[in-house]
Amino acid sequence: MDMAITLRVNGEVRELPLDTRTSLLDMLREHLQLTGTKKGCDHGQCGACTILLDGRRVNSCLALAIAHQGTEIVTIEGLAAGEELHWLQQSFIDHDAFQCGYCTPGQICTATGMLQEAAEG
Amino acid sequence: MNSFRYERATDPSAAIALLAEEPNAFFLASGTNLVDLMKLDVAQPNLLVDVSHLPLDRFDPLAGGGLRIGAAVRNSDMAADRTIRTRYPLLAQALLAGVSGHLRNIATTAGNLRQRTRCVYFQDATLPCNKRAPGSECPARNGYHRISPSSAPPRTASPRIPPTWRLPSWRWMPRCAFSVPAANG
Repeated sequence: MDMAITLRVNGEVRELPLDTRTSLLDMLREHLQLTGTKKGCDHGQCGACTILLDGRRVNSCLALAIAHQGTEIVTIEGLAAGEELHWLQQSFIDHDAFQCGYCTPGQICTATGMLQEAAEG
Repeated sequence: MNSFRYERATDPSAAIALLAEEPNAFFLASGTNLVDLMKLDVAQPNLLVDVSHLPLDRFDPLAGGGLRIGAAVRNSDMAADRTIRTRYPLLAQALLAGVSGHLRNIATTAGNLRQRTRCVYFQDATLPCNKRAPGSECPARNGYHRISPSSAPPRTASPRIPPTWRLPSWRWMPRCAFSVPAANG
């Protein structure tokens, strides 16, 4: 069954009806066309789907969208400021930190979250 | 995944009342275990009662010493809490050794206690399992039971390991995980 959900994604308020079964990952990719976040295992084991939810790194594949009304989400697309890359994105390029690159958005979002956790002690 | 209704509880009494009105209703906290099982069609609730937003995310010192830990306290918050780290380091170390930071950031204390078994046969709805379907058989007895509390004798041949399962690495568990200082309650 469908329910209306409102939340903030990369600074923009988004409002849309979603089936209760929709994960945040499927909401981002299929409904908001933000395909930077990837579906790897879809079971919370690989981290390719990592986003920042109210500032914390989480697996978006196991988060039901309807349970996160009013939250603030930052995806890999939201880390850059327009054409200017986030320093972590630039650092990945500078140090050739990719292989196939599929889970790299997850790695960068994870690193962003982890650095914040470390800063908070 | 089957279709289901979602309700967000406003207080504990309302949460219980919502659960009582629907026989096939489950509490939803972070969903890191429940949603996983729902994707596998192992759990098939008709109603989810969201309790993750209830005001149960605090630590309260108790009069005679000790600590009351709220059911909705996130695992990472418990592991990072100064009181827990100094007076109950085993709790913090156990949480940090258990699972990724991603899951710790939203998983709750009560949800952690309610986590279902990690047995690979339980988690595969296409296979028999006495826990899911009493009387259907327990493949873990003579199968893969490294992570199951099975009393079966050790096998000599390698059992088939379901390809979706990944074994945790314990090599990085901190050495101080099992030292517990004398605590005053």
